[in-house]
Amino acid sequence: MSNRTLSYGLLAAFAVLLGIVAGMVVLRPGSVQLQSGTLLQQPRAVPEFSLQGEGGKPFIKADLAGHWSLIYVGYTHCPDVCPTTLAQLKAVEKGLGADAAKIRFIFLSIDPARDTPDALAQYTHYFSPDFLAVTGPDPQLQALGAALGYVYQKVPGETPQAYLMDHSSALILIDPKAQLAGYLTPPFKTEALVEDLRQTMEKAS
Amino acid sequence: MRLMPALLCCALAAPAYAGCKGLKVEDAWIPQAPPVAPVLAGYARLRNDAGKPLHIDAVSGADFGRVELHQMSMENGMMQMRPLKGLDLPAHGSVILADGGKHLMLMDPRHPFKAGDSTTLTFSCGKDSLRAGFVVREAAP
Repeated sequence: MSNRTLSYGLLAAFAVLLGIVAGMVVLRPGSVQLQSGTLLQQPRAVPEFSLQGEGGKPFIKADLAGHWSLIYVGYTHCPDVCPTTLAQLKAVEKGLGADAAKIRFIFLSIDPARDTPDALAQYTHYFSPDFLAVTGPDPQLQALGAALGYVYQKVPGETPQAYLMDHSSALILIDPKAQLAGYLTPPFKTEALVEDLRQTMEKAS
Repeated sequence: MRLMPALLCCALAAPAYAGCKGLKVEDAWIPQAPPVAPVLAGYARLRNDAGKPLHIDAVSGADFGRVELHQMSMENGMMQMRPLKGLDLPAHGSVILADGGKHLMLMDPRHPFKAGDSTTLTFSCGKDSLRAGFVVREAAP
């Protein structure tokens, strides 16, 4: 191989590399680089919805306004991932320190047949008294899922009561204007979540 | 040729599984959960020290309405759980029951559990069985 061929080869490789880097920059203008997820370039409006919080109190879109929200979709008959994630969110809340006042953590149950608002609240408050427990009628949960990008599905178990729920694992981030801001995806690392949330909330304020 | 029927007979009759003989349940624990939790998880390392494969077909416990074996998996961002029809442990092999993988599903606890509490679960291997103690803990042993 002559020196000239080698130079052309290197030049071509460099051009390809430059193209890739330029592409990355162009495709993500002004977005916050998250370690554990992605932010939408344009926050997306959330439609009106009607769910229930503790004591059956209405939980509506207006309840998402004025502060950040991080929604975790799950159910209490899930012994493995759900409690682990809630315990991790408790650690995130602690890690945020004073910044935790800017954000509400919401455990959204997609299993209203078994998770009554009060049982759900008791379960959720075990992790943190500040966490909100929300659920509601299936059609409302489905409609909100279509808007927020979560899905779930009932899977028959060995007995009628022992059914399982498949559900999206991402944490859904809502901004103080009650708009969908982005997603944090597993595997979750407490420090990365704290850093991502802090940066995102800081940049927006 | 005369040997064939004899060999066939013995191959079929040979017990593939030897009950719970060789089964060891190690580092058995239950992650602490809210007192109202309708389901708890059970984690452990299951070892088969025997030279024959071992099959666990059921797990039960007096403190729970029902115990199932489950497999957790993540498919395209979806958290999925599926019941398992028992567990196979190869000769001198082991299976880990842990967070995010195979685990015991301890349903309908008869009373709330807190860290430090313990319970006994029974692993059934055909007609044989083995009892093992599980301790409620805040973190893995």
